[in-house]
Amino acid sequence: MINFRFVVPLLSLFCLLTTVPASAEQDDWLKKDLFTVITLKGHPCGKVVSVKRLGEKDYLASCKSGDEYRVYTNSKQRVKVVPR
Amino acid sequence: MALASCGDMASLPDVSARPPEHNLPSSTGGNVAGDTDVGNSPPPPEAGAGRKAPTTQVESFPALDLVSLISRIRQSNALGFFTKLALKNAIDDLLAEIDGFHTNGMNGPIQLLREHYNLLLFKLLALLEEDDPALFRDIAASGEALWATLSNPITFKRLSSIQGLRQ
Repeated sequence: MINFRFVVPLLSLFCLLTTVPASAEQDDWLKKDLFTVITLKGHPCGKVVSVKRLGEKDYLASCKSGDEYRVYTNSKQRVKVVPR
Repeated sequence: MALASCGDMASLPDVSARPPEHNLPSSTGGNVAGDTDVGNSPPPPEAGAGRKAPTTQVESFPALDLVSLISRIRQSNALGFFTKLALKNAIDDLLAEIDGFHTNGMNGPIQLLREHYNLLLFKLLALLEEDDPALFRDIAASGEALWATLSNPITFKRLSSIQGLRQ
């Protein structure tokens, strides 16, 4: 006989433990991606410390250097990096 | 990743398994004018025997190498969406510059295009060095051969006709 009093909290804990690191990993991956493209375009950054999503494929990246950049793709599928 | 899911990595040809004849001599670096002339004027009849060998070698060059490398960049897990798209934009720009050079003689001299190519290659290698060493190795090994393909109007024209190169 399965005791659901224990199963439900255990499942919740499992979901929490598996989803939070994945989300953090995705966040780090996005920061790295944005940092790389900012650097490729020749802008100073140092490291992307925070990211704000502005829209589809449109982000505002804040750098360790204090600089902020809007990184997005335009209608011609070109990556644009615009200092704020 | 939208770009990373475009195809199956296993179906790609192994770039590292190129036969030795694909390693063209780096004549394009020093004898640029000669390479450029290949597409503009046919060799004189009396020099036919002497010039046939390099022409045959150029024509047997596997034009798919650049395509397969681009496919592998698309499928690499080392690069994010924006990085891949920015690289694609840079590759498209370079191909357009080279196309202009081969078609109208614009964007020259060829040494300037070579510098652009080198810069893009170094950026790409720097990005891949740590996270995708296999692709890094293959691209580093193919650098000269790729430039030979791009700088030769015949092989470049063939590359341009391949659908998917700029997709």
